[in-house]
Amino acid sequence: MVSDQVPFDFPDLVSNPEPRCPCLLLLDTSMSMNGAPLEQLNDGVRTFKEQLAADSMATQRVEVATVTFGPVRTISEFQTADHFQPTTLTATGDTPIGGAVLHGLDMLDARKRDYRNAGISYYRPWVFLITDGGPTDAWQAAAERIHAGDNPEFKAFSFFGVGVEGANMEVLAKICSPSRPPLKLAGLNFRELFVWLSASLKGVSRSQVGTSVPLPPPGWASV
Amino acid sequence: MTLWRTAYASVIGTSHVQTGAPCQDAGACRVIRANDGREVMLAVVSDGAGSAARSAESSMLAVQYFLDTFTPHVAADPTLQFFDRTLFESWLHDLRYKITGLADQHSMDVREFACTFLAATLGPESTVCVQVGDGAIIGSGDEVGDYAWLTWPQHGEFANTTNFITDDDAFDAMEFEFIDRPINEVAVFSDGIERLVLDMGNRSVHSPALRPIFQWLATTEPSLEKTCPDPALEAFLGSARINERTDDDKTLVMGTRVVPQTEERA
Repeated sequence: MVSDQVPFDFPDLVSNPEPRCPCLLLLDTSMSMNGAPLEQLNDGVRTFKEQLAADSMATQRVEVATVTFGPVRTISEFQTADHFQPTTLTATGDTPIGGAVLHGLDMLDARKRDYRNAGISYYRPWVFLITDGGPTDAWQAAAERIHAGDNPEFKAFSFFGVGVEGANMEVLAKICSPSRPPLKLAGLNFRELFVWLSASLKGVSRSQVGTSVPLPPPGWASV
Repeated sequence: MTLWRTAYASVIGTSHVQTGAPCQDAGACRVIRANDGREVMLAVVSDGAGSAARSAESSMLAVQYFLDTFTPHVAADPTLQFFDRTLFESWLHDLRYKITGLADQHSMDVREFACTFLAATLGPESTVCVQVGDGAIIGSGDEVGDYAWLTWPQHGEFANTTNFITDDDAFDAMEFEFIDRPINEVAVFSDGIERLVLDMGNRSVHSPALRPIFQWLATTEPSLEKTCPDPALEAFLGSARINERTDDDKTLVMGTRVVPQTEERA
């Protein structure tokens, strides 16, 4: 309709790569997660993928990577939501949260370098840690790196800690940034958690310059 | 008759239509006949921050204040030798003072008035470009139909961050370029269309994205003052093909003093 009024040949516009919104999942697969918790977590991650894939912008912009512990293992490198294939996680070992955080943040730094080298812009990354225990390794270095990267003055990433029933919330609070204390999952509400996470990332991935992104209330957290 | 053919338009983004937010972009152009009879063109754009409630007002104020301040300057000295970094700094200082006054008047934080600012001043011998924030100014390149950027968008580490004139460090972010040659074609635009016109990976202008618009502009009627937005640019910026690529407000201000082929022959 309006194009009739354009008195010149429609210009050949340039296609730039979509800006990326990296999301790192640090998932507890220690033996205590065996059974219902891990089944619900697997189901939650699949829901996460489906929700992102259903959104045309998020599917091209949100990049997901998965690291499980323990042992610390990269399950999937950063890839856009349309390529991300959740694998069924199984319970394997102890709870090296410190090692998982450091490994994950290294992956994130490497991914940011890739973006910069390719001239791809990116949004502030999200790191999501889910555990039902407490760290079985040294976690102080990981905590320092989180506090240094997620605070009101310096925002390298947003770090969210989520404790499942049985989690050592006291230590988790020390690992998380004081400005973003950990939340406790209500029951095994993984599905709702991942619906919330995908909705939040959809918001971030379409945010414009100078816009703060209001997060939906986390209905999955217990108060 | 003037040599300049100019056009501007600001079109609201589809995301702002959905949320009921106003168009927070402002843009304008003006051709000034100097005391010696030569002409200077001013092309100005300001993009109000999406999260800033009153940025539609500050962006309009910034554009109008630039035109008001610099019209007498360029009329007196079209060589633009008067225009240096210090002068622009003091102008920016005054603008910030005005915006702070506006904020105080409404008992609001000055951040609610956050906006970017871009202006190109094109004289017969020289050119001045100033910028705080994202968006870009591009000018004619070495070959006919080729374009090169005069200023590049300022982005922070993250895609949705930039500098605003209301920021504490606006003077550090401020870019001032005095170019010692005339530029005959110019386009100043807000970030809404920067990803459609600029090759971000190669840091270059994608000339075919602007070439047909400049060719068309050169065939329009020359005029000194455009008091209303150009319907053709409005139709272009509001077209479905643009809206499927960006949901942000977009402003484009253009000028050319290139003589069209048909006139040369006549």
